[in-house]
Amino acid sequence: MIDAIEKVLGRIVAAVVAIQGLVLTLLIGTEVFFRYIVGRALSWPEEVAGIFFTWFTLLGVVLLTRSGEHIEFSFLSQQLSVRGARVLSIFIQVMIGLYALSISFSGYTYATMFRFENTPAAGISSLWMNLSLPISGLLIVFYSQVSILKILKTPAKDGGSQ
Amino acid sequence: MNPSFFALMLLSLFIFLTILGIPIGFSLGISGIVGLLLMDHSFMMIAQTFLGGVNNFAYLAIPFFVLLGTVMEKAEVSNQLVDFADELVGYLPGGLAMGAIVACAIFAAISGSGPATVAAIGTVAIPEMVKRGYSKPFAVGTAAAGGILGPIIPPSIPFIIYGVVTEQSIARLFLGGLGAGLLLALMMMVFSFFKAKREGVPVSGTGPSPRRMLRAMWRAKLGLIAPGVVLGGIYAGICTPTEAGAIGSIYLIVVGLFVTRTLTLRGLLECFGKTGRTSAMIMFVIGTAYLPAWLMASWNLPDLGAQFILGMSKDKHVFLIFVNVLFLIIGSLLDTPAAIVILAPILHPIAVKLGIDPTHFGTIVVVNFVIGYITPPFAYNLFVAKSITGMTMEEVSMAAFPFILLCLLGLILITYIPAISLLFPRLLMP
Repeated sequence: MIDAIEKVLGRIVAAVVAIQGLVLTLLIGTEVFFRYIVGRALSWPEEVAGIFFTWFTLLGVVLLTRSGEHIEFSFLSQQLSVRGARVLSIFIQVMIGLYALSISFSGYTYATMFRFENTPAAGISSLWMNLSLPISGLLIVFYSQVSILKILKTPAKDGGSQ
Repeated sequence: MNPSFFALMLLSLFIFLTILGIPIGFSLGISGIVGLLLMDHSFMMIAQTFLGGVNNFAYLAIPFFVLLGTVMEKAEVSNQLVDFADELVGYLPGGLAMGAIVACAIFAAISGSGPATVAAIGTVAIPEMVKRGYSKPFAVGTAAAGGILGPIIPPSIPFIIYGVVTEQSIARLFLGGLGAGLLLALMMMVFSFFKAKREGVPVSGTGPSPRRMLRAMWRAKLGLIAPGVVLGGIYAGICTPTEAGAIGSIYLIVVGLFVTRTLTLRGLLECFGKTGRTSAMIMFVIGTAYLPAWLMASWNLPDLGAQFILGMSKDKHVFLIFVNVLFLIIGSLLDTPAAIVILAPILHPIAVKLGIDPTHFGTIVVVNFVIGYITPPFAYNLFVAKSITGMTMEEVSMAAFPFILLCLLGLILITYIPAISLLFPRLLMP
């Protein structure tokens, strides 16, 4: 059940990130096109791009957590026994989850505090950008827990805990 | 309690967490939270520093320069670049190695990332070099070292971060990197020439042919136009680096989809997905580094650092030696974006106070950190070279060793001959 949810969620997040990348490119392309071809400078693409960019970054972090592609130093785990490496991997995922929970909480407080602020040109509520942190934070927490479950499910070859 | 003690404690905690294997962005974030708790600051600073740091229009250039490299690779333009570079210098001893470095330099003028440069050029050049009688370590060392040109020759991701953090012109910093990058490329080529001669690598018997060179240039034209689109846009004053990145990406996407037809819609979405993950890797580290950087500023560490360093010596040459040693050590231990976000606000004002040109200093900082890309343990280019060749990390590190020494020599020249990094800014942005 969890496997199915994480796969579907992962595909949705990956699709959203890819589409956001495309939209970002088109937004900035449109900005330059209007300034030089149409002769009218638009102010809103930059603000909208800022919102998309924050989501693009944070959802990208969710994907990295899912695939375990973060920049990390794996020297220590390579030196440990299979069992030791499993314990370390679980500890790492717990720390990732705790940090993500912190940014989620902090992000939610920040988003609610500034919920009435709008962007200067387009007048878009800052909630659209600020909610990226609590939502992505919760997704990272989810994937760190999924990783822990996966580690626990994988049989330990040296007779370690199941 | 002494702020320097706090800073050292957080640094130690960060190193400890990183050694444990916690991803760098999370290690930085956790260290920052511990700092917040110790100093009894508001927990909301986590969100404020992250969102405030990431939400900067100049940083939006980062995904575009990553996208440029990804599309370039997917659109299979790198092969033609290697062929063209081979025709340019391939008939000389060590010609293919020199060609690989030229191809890296051209690719670097499109993408701002070191590992992307190694992946794009190394995948084509390493097997070809081995096939033509080069030793595997020579081929691997050349591609990994050539890859450091990616973040030095503009456009460059580290220069964007440095420009944002120190509020310097990114376009001017790019030009500083151009001089430094060309010098390093030239040094690598001269080194390859002599190394190939010493190793007795067979020389291509065909000799130079202007007709073949022109033909190869024509075949590589679509890739060769890309740097013109990106850098031309910036220096003609038409667009900002971020906009140039977007326009360059659109150009390459159109080329890949409709001209070379090597890019499919599915492939394009894959490129955007890969770009999302790669730029998230960089941006997450930048975002989380803003919290420790803010804590250091709140402890007045930049001023304390300035007093400490200027108290030891007011000679700018001594300061540059100190900076080079410090950055070389940190560059091999800490991720470049994090190192720039945390250290540049402390050291940049001191450099300016000592009369060092900000562009010159920015170039020194970036070259220092980028040498870390081929210096273990955090050697991104070596990780990529390792994955291309299947060699062990030790073998790849040994292969890169002569190039590390060469780059250090280049760094000394860049540090003590400011004209290298200031030539192009003075010519093009007086």
